[in-house]
Amino acid sequence: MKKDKFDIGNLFLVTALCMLVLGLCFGILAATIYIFPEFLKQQLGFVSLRPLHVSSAIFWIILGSTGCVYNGLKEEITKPITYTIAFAQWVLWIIALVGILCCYLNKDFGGREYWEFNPVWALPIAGAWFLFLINVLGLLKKIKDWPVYLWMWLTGVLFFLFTFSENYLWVFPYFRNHFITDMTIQWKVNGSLVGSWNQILYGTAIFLMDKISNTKNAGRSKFAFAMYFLGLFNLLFNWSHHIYTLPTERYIRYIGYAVSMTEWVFFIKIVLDWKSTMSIVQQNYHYFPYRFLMATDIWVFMNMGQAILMSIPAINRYTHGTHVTVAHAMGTTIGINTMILLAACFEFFDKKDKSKYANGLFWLLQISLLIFWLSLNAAGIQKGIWQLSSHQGSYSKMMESLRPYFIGFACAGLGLLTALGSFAIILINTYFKKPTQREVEIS
Amino acid sequence: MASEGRLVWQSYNCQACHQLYSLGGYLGPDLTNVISTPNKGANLVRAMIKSGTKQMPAFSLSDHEMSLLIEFLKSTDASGIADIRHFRLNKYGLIEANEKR
Repeated sequence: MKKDKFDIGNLFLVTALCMLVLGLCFGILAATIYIFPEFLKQQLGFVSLRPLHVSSAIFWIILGSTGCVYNGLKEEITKPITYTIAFAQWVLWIIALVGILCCYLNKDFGGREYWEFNPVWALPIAGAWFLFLINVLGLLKKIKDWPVYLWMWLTGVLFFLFTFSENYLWVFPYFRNHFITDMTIQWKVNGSLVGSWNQILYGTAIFLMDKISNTKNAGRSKFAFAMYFLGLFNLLFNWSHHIYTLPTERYIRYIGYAVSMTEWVFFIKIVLDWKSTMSIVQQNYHYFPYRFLMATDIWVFMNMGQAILMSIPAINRYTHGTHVTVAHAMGTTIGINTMILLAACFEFFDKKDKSKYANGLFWLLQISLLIFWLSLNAAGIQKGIWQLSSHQGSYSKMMESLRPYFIGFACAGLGLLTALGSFAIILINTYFKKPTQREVEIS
Repeated sequence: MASEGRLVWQSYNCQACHQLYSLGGYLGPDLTNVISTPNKGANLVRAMIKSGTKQMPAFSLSDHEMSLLIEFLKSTDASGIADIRHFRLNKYGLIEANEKR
């Protein structure tokens, strides 16, 4: 291995960037099937391309989050990370992701939507995460007076391990025999898994804000802790808006609805903070980290607004099972998670990059994502109207009528491939060619 | 048998394109109540799986796998109603399915 033992965080980040490139390529192939239904039908088909795309994207987020936590902790403490454990963790991830992607290519499935794979590959992932927990706990105990992002990182790491284990209860026939209970657990897990890595990534965003502004304001304010507890409460209970239509216990749905509505507090706070946040960060100019964090703010505003609306049952009735849900999933994955991770990658790899080329890519990314998001929402609204129509035509005719929106979303997908792919290649290149920021600081 | 059928559903990754209770993929239709839907039913499911469609490839399930899958779809059908047209808002603002189809 080329990098020394102080660079494990960046090793995770560069691996994550490779998964981003793969995820984009699989994504554009899968999107093509929406326009040309017979494209790669016999070779791969949507049945393989969808999990290839989804899993690559999830690997990008999880490995990226891991890299951010390691890099962040390195700045909080002076002692080195236990390299052997961290490297073993990385090796387990490589085993899992290579195995999972090869299985998809061979049409070997067997897991649960939406992060599905043969359950055997859950073992190296659980092992890797267990090692991560050991390392994180070992490092955190050396720190006193934790800022909020350390709490968020620990919460995310713990909850991921717990929820990921819960995700495999279906392997036992006792749980699988009760279909509705099984579906409820499945979609509870899906919601909570996303909540877990969001805790890590939102913590990373606060860490970056403090680092960029060179203050401890964001990470130690009382309001940040209040928001953390509200986020934790949502992580535990707000997943049930996924299952309004499932004939499960009513109280689960009532609690889910009530908790989802507490997200209005976040939403209003974002609007109120917007102006002041910008002025603080603008004073301390880390070019791309700053720009990606600002973009995150706008996408949080749009996606959280959409999520809150979708959590209102009267609206959920129209959007459930439509492409509005896809717009929300893609909007948050790219608009929030990916923007935070790119901000972190630029901060850790090359915070001073201000090239016009990269600037153009930044705007291509934002405009493509907006078109992508709007096209999916438009397709979803049209499908929602069809779902509630009393004179429903066939499903295939309805899908055919959505074709203009699918063309829009595929073209925007090409823009995303170009912009995100170029950013990933620029960053990977920086990692291998130049000394990292950490090395410069050490030297 | 139904719980074994769910494993068949998973092993062919039907969820990549199809939904149950509107949860799953978006390329094909929701299959929660396909067994009891007029003009559909188990025979249509068998035919579709064997012959494929314009975008769905043909799948070569064994007879045993096919019966397990059909049992699973029968159990999802019996578990409730997924067609959103059967849902109404209750007085607390939540949506509830009508018992009658």
